[in-house]
Amino acid sequence: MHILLVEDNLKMVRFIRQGLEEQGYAVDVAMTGEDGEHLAATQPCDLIILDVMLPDQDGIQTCKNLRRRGVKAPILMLTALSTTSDKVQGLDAGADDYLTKPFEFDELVARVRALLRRGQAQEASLLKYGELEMDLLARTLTRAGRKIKLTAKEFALLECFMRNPDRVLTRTVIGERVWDMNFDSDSNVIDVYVGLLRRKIDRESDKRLLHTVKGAGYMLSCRQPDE
Amino acid sequence: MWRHFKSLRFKLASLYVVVFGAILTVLGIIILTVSERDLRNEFDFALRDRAEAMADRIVVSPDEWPPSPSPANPIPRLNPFRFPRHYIQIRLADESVAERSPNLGKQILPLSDQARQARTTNQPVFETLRDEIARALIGSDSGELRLLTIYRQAAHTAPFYLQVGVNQGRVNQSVQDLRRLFLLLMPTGLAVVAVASWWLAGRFLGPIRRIAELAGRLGAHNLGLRFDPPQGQDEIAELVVTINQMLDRISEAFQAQERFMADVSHELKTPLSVLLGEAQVMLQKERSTADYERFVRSVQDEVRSLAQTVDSVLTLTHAEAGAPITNAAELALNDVVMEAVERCQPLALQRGVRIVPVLALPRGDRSGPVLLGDPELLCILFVNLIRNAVRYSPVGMAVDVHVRWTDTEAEVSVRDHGPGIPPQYIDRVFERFFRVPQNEGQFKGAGLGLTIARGIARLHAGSVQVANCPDGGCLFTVLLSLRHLSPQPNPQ
Repeated sequence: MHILLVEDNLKMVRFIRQGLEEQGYAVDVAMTGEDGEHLAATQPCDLIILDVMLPDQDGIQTCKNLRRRGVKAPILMLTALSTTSDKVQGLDAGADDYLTKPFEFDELVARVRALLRRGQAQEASLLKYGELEMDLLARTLTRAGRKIKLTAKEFALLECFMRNPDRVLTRTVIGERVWDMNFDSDSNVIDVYVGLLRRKIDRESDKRLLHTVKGAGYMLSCRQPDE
Repeated sequence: MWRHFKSLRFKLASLYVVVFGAILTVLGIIILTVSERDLRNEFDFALRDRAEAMADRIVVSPDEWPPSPSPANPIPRLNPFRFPRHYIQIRLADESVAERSPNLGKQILPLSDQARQARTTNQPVFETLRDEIARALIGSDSGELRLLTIYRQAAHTAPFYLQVGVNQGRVNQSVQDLRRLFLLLMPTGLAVVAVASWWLAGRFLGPIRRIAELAGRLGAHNLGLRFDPPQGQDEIAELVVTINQMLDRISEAFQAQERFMADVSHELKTPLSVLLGEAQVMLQKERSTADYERFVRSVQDEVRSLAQTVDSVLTLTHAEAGAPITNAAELALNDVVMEAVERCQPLALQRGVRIVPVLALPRGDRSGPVLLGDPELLCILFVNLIRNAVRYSPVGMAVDVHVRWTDTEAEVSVRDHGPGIPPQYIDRVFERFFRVPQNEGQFKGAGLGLTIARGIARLHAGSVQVANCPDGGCLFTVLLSLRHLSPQPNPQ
């Protein structure tokens, strides 16, 4: 796997290159935005690590230029700025991920891996059950053709149900899958979010899809739980 | 500065002159007109008085009287009247001239249609003659004769017209004099007013000029400058007091800023000197691999801690700037709190502490508390509180995070079952860089977490309170207003 690193600080270049090469990647280096664009066009590269502060031109601009030239490789941006608007700016310019300095090296490696994996996996992008249809890429949901707006967590929760239709999911399972947490019995997080989800998907239809199974958990089903 | 000020003074003074001048002119004209009228009335009144007196003593007996051969050449008869300035003429009821005073010479006072009304209305009639007769009698080109005609009907005499004429020159002269006086006084008065108002304006604008001068001299190096306490209670005095108070606040802010810089310097430079020192000692002679490894790990720790401090300081500056929330969005509070819980989960797992979130339930139509705010900052607020609670929790214990709400307010409470905060420090926990002394060294925080939390809460028109719980542990309560929070305009 070839990684292109566009960074002007010599020491950063040194340790990133060393670290990544030791993880088994081949690393090419460009110290200016222009060089970076040139290398991306002429050398094979599976991932680009791009610093936002470059001597000749803004990293964001470089990112836009790369995309405009048709470079498809995932781009990971490095920056010292960490406000939400800076992140959004980077992502809007065409970057796939964003890491703020100083970063844990492990995190850099993990994200590199994730980005490289993303390019390869072919996931099913549509989930259907009954009247519900979820587009995993666009993050949208429709019920009988009617669009329903969900927050990120509500979407993740419904996705969990949609992948396990007609099956009772305990609170433990839901907590682990959606929040990666083991909730206490005192905590009402899952009940609250299932409730919110119900309000959105079940309210305007006469057919209830999300059911409470007393003493066990919740279930997404076209049938009643006791049928 | 001077130019503007001057123009204000000029404007004030000239405005005053114009207004006063206008009023003065109008008043003057009124007085002049009334005086003129009074003068003339007075004159007429005197004339009438005399004429009536004369008429009272006239007796006309036409029977003894031969008709005058020709009005053009009448022969003056008895003239007991000694009024040299009055031109007197008596006409009979048939309008023929019966008697004339000698001073009339060859002239005859005319009886106009208007004058005849004296008979029909029985009222005296005043006329002003400016023609040849007047000129001839008075002997000047601008002669004016005031002619009074009265018609007398009494028991002891035949009816007659009595016509008395007087030179109106005296009155005219008086009127002229009045007008001249007016024309002379007006501009003089205005000039005096102009000078006085210029001086007055200067006097009252003086303090403003001094304020402008002082403000010009004020700078970061002499923040102690204040205006002398003002005398009186007028608007200028109020202005001076307000400006002094503002200077107090600015000075205070500068000093707070300096203290902050000093604190931050210390917090950043301490780990840096540790790093430098350790590195230099390391290099003094050859060390074992184990020593080098230990040093490198130490470097990693110190740098992580430094990075955390820098991050906290930056966040604090962002949160406290008094500044506008630049990324305001409508947020579901439950979501923000859960995001914070998730972020603290790795640390909680590591320390064997459970985080137990109890979220807000829907109320009526509303699915949960929603407020306008910065998602990142609010998340940091809760992360800081939860992380603190996790740090001070004993293994196996829980950190309770509760979200409650009413129509107008939301409350997020974070409670741990740890040792709590010693009472003598509880008021100080929100101070910058403050760490409870016995715990220092144990936890690598910068001591800014709670300061930042409070700053963020304030930025969202909310508050953070702390209290020790009676059954152990600490309770932090965040109150946030759910009323519409409008993002303030950027002060830059």
